Amino acid sequence: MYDDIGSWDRAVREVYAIRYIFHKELKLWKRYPSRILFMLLMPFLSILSLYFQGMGLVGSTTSSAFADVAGTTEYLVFIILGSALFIFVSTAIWGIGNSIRREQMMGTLESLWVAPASKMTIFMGIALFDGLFSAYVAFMQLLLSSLLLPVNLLVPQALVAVLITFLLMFALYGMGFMFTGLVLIYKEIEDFTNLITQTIRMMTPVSYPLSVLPAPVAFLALFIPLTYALEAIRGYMGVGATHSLGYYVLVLLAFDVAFIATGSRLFHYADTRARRRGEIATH
Amino acid sequence: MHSGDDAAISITNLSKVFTRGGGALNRMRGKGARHTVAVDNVTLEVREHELFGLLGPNGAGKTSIIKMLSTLLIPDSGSATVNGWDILADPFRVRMSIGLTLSSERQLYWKLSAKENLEYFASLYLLRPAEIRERVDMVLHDLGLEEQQDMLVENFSSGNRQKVALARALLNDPPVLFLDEPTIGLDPSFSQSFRTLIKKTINEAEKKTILLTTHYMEEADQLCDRVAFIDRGSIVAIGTPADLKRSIDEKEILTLALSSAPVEMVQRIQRVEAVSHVECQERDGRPILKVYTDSASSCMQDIVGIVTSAGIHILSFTTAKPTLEDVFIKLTGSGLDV
Repeated sequence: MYDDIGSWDRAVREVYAIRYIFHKELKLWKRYPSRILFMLLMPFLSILSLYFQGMGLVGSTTSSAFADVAGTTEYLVFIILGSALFIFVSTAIWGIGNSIRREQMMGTLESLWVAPASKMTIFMGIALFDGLFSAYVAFMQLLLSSLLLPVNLLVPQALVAVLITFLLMFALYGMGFMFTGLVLIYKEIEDFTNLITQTIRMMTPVSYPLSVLPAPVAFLALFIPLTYALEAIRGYMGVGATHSLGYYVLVLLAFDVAFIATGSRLFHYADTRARRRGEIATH
Repeated sequence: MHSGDDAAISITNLSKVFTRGGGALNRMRGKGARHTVAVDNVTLEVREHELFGLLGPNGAGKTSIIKMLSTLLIPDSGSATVNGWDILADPFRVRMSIGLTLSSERQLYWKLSAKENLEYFASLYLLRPAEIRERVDMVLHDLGLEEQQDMLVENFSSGNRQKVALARALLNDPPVLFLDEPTIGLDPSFSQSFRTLIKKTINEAEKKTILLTTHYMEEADQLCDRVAFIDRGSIVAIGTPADLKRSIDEKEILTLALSSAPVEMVQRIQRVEAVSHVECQERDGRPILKVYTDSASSCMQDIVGIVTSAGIHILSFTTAKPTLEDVFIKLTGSGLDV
């Protein structure tokens, strides 16, 4: 049917495939009504819990004591931004691997693997869906916070946050490829992924500034891209010190290249290993 | 086809051994790795437009061969080409050239409709949107699924799910199809119509080369231009069903279902003149005796006499021409229902 397919033609067809993969993920998602309920309620519930947590700890949305360690009194804004960005981390790290695991359990993975579309195309389709899902939840958190709480997060500087988040996503999906490779090798890695996700949350300034961490842990946090993304976004949203935008863009680009390259190689190794051992579809 | 010769599939000395439990933890426990030979030095060719069957019991290595040819499994040694493309050197072109159905019922998304499944998979076969619409409509029509196209796959019968899987395998109009146990789990009447669909529509009308695996000898007999018997990973015979059946010297087979089958009695039957070979199998907990002979009429009375004199009841008695299963049993010493 397409013996003469060239590299440009193939690239265009792979892009069409990403669109169909996105639609398939969306259709499957819509067929389970509880997911829609979860999506509607989750942003609302999560910002309320952050608000009450702040009120319980410092009795206000701001804190002078917090300024001593974080360089800003805006405690609530600090943790809402951390929480919103962390949604991308957990979705990206676990999203593709979880989706591939689901295909494995459903029995459809071999049908995907035997198709000519690149594995990266399949991952990009899944990542697009997950990324938009995360973006929706994060945006709703910021919107609801601005409407319901005494903070304003829908400021023009939020566009910088979009750019930084976009750059962060590539590095996160590089990590996602690594975990997808681990799914092919070890199958059930949910506990391991949760462990890594919680470790990243503990080591990076999601809910508190780096300055409260022991020096060795704070040093290790410098090797995690989320640290820079949080610092940049908070800086441009007016709650923390910041380097120039160019600095953050370069650092995140470097992480993107390193993590995507490492993640792709690990996935390729795991895929070859699974195909050599006949374990693509085994549970 | 990519290459000049008329072999749509060419396999040379293909081998696969599965190793399990060879990890460091097992070594520390003093447990060694277990090796299972799945495919052992298999060589065969499937000609263009041929419907070729791999016939053998469960675990014989049929599915492993199909998975290697479809790039899902990497062979340990040997080589193979599909539609002229090497499975290791050019897996992308191989995937573009093939359609595959697996024996699992869960190879489709049950929460999507038949049409949604097909549109999705067509995109993974790198069809453009206009091509997707055209091909999906065409395969739905050709396989008689138009009326059910918007129904969720979870509401389909097993047979119609297998039809959707076959439709999916045809989306990219591939020259080569791999069908792994296409009628397993289907009721007899649907199996029959499905076989007709494979033979008449897919193979003869659409001129697809088909390599199918089965452990149903009637299926292989009815469908296949040629058959390879595979047992414990090795090919033990290749030929047309008619040639394979002619390869048995004996012209008739007496099949006796008995209340029991003591060894001495079987040995006495074996010594009857005109009996060349006796096989004892078990089916539904009852011993089944298969007596291979040149002439059933000349030895039938002697056999009945031996059985009844041993106080054993004959539950059923049939004579028949050799089937593919009989050839398989003669060659391997075991049946297909393993």
